[in-house]
Amino acid sequence: MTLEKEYGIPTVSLSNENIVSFGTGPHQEYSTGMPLRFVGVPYPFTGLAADRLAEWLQGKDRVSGKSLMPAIVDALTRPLTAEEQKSGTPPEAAGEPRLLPPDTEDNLQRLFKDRGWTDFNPVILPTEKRVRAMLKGTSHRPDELVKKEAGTFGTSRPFTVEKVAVIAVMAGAKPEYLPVILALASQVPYMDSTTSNANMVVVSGPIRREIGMNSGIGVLSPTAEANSVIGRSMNLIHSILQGYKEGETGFSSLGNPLRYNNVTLAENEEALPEGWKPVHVENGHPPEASVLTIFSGWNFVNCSGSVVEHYAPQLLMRDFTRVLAATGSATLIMDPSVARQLRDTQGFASKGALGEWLAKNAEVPAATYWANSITSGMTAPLGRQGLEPYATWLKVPGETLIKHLPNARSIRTVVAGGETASVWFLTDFMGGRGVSIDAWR
Amino acid sequence: MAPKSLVTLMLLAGTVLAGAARAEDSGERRITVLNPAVTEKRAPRVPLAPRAGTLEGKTVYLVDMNYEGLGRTPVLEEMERWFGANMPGVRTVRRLKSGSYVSDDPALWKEIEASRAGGVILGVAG
Repeated sequence: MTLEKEYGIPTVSLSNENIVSFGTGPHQEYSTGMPLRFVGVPYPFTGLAADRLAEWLQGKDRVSGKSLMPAIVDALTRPLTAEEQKSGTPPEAAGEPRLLPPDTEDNLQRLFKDRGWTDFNPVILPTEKRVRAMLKGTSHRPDELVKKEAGTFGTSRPFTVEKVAVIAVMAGAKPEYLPVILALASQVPYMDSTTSNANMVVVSGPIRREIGMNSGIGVLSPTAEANSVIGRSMNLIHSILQGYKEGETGFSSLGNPLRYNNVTLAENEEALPEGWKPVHVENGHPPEASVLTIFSGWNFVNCSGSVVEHYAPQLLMRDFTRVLAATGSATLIMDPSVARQLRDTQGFASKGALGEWLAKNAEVPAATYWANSITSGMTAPLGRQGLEPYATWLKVPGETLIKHLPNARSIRTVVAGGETASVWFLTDFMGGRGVSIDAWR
Repeated sequence: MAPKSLVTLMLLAGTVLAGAARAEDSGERRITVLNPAVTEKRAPRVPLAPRAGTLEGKTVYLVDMNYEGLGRTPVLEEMERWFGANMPGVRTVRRLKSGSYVSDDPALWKEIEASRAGGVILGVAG
């Protein structure tokens, strides 16, 4: 787009045939405003030998149906259509009415599903009475703007407190959950990827207890109303307010089962060992603050059994880091009993101390590290520009072990669980700084 | 109101009330709910750069956006061969964009502009 707009150079974009529709559809309409010319190439092409690639170039453009290379030449030379020469502000789309036409509950449930406003479970229909009751959960005015640039890629999808209350009703929330859901909504757009990423929502501070969030036994299972409903709200916010729809505005090939509830949990702050601070306090928030922190990543690995005496927990954690997406981040979710063992028998006086140990000891072969497309796409270019340690990691033999989690501050720990087994999960999740829930009370 | 009209009105009201009662009995009561949807604002339209109608005698840049990050450009190399065999009047220049696939490369764009290139083939995403 920059080449066309700022430099006046005819350009054709080659893209995976399965996602061209995004570039020529919603991305054009709401983000770029430019009717870029795409040629759709067959997918996948990675790793094809030269003779296969040559054969591939003799194939068809999956957009126009023409032969691929002539289609590319055509995109660079064909005179512009009237549509492609348009400039200026397009007419506004008709605004969404505040109320829907009256209908039966069955028809409305069907309408909500057809319009992509559900997670395909029935929703609580947002009557005026229910939304009014929900709004009692916050002091903010219903017409207050929560976020304007809410769409994927920051497109303009402004929404108000009332819209979030509508979603909270639909998800089955109680009014006292609303400040948490408003804080959650204020963080859109959420991270999305074609490569099956997921999010985790950690609630910290006094509101955990006030609204009955589970941080104890069965914390990651459907064991508490607040955890379930807040996690569900994130999906409704994602699809309705952000406008994410698989195959139209998002293209996650396999998706991710963690998205069913977005790993929504409260930290078991009361069970933290001495010296181990809650997630929000480590991020600089006061202990008495209620804070919501979103984590994002790809991997979620079960330790597969309880901690054993003959192999210290941090050693297995170190070993397991080899499967991470190599984003340089890791987040451990561990039972309080594991945290206590790490402190009392292994000497980790804080979460940070564990992070520092892992940063120094977690290793992976260089070839494995670079085999990950997320890593190679983002950090190899930095290495090629001379940035260390990536520059060195690009040069070493593939079997050389490299310390792939070099930044201890990017290794986080969340303590939760019911102390019926000394278990933990390792993730590659990157944690945010956390946002105030109290600001939305 | 004439007595006949009053009777009609009463009959109609009775019919409506009975109908409403039947609808409730069968779960067909109509309700009004708030609309969760938001309105997305359309982006201002931006025209494409004019096309010259031919690439003959011009330079075409083949730019790898570095999707995998490792600097290999086999697809664009094959395209370059295709131009050599099928459109020998077109000069091709192959470049690897610096930075990751999401970062800008103004130096390269300026080089392309200064060369008065006839077009850019940018890829490959996916």
